[in-house]
Amino acid sequence: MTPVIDPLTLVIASIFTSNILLANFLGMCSFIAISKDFNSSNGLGIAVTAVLVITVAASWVVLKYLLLPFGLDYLAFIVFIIVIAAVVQVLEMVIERVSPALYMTLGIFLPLITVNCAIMGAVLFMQIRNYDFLQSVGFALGSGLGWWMAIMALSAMRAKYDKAPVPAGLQGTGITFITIGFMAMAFIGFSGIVRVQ
Amino acid sequence: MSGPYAKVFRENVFTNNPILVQVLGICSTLAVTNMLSNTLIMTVGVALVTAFSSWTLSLINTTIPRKVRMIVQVLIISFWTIIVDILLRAYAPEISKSLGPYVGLIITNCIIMGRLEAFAQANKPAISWWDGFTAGLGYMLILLALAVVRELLGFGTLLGFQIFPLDFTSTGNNWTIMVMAPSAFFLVAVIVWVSKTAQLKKSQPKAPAPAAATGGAK
Amino acid sequence: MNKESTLYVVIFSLIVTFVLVLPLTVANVLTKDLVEQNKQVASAVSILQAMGLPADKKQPKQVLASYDGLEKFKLDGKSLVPVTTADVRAAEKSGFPIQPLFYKTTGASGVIWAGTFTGPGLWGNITLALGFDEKIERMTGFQAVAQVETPGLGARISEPWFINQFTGQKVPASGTVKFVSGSGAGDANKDNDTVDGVTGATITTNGTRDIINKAIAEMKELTAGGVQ
Repeated sequence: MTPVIDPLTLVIASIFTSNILLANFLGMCSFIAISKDFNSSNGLGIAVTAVLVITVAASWVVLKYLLLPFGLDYLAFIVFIIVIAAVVQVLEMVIERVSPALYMTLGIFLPLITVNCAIMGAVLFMQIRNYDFLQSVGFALGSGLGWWMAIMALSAMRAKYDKAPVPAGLQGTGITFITIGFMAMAFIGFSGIVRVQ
Repeated sequence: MSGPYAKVFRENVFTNNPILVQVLGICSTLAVTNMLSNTLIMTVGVALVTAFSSWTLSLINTTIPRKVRMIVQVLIISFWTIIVDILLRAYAPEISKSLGPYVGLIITNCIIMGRLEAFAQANKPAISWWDGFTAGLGYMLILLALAVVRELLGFGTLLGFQIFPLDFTSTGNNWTIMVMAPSAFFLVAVIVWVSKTAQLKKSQPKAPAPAAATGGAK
Repeated sequence: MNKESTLYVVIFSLIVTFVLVLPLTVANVLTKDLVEQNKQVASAVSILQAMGLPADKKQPKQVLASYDGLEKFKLDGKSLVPVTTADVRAAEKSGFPIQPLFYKTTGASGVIWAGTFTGPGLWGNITLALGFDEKIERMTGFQAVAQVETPGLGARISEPWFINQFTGQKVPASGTVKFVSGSGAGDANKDNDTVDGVTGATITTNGTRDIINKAIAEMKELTAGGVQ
């Protein structure tokens, strides 16, 4: 049964109260790797948001009109990952055409969006929560924007602490995780601002 | 255990532990580490999917055209994940319900792709299975450690058995932050810190013998 | 044949897809009935437990037999219309399950009513199975049938300490139960007007509260009207 939630509320809630990265832990590998550079972070954030919205929308359509009517929903995982791979492939071609500079900066991380847990995660959440089309798009948009915001914030902070005297054992991964932990705590402060209905 | 198998075991579980060294693949499982039982099931699932995917890929690794290599790997991983999902839904429905979408997220776990690329691509089936399984074991160890801390301090229980009394902190409440997201990040940072410091110490050359007294103070 | 030629790639892809999809289809077909039965048993167990009746998940046949023994009703406007287990199963099969469903049984302690009630939680709907005594003055039980709340937080409404608060809990005269901050052990006092919520899961707790209070109001109205 589809829950009764306003898509716009889902957008706001997915950015703040249940940020796909800071609260749901999804999308971390590229998050940590790319946040070293502010501009690449920006580009990747936009790319991930675009992929999320298109993929979740496409997956919803495939699920509703192809998988469910024919009882093929046990193949859902395979079909979803193929949809994701296809969307990323197309997006790659579009970016190469429209902005070669961005294409160069993102490099290997563009095709790696395919295995970014945030994308697959958003699709699976959409399936489990039985969202309708607008809710799915709202949820995907919010998740993307939230991820983008998180990676921008982290890369801004990294610029600062990369120069700080961090103990040897904590350098790199360690201090990054502590920072993300604080960000996650800060975002918990948002809970309660949006009443989902 | 024969030579190469022992070597693979040692590397995947200790020296080249996927999480400690490469911080790979934690995203999909961190979310369930607030309960030990869920973590156990998830990590066993990841270990088995990695093992069997490596085995499957290794069987056909000489026949795969370059162009479709990545997509074939992803398809194999999806296949085994669906098998795990079907088995859970039929024979352990409650666990399947409590894991929810996280079973499907095994597919995007970077560790599995990593092992397929690094090992199964170029090795024989039997040892590929072992490589995948031990990588899963290394992964399991770290996450179980994390889950023990989180569940014990957050709920006072382990596998549902009450270990600490419910009001063991002075304020009379459990350490709720352990149940919520940030604690997982902090704990991973601590684990990485400990392991990295240990590794750095090991690779440091032994300090030179103290200079003779004659070289001493000016 | 050259490994890199387009023809090879196409044939290879087709074979791989076929080889992968075939076992999955077989596995799916083999386990379909089991998965379906699991769902029915789980749902039946929730209702029976909410009514305070014995239901052992490990005895699916017994559970389904007990479920069959309950009187079932569907909603027609504001009155209850009896339906049979066969009707329920047929509706499920057709993809349009009868919702909402109400149950009644007459046991040693008197008449027990139950129903499934749905409302919004934090991330999606929460469906509860709630049981009441004849005059809707005491609850016989609470079960969370379906929820997609945050694991470790909102999802704790499925945990024993939370559920047990409602077994034998008095329905306040005002008709609304209040949730308060608790110790995490659940409120053992069944005669007060409050129960403990889940710390740190405000929206889920409030959602659950609203579902319960609406259910109380609905059950009072329906049972006062009598059965058709």
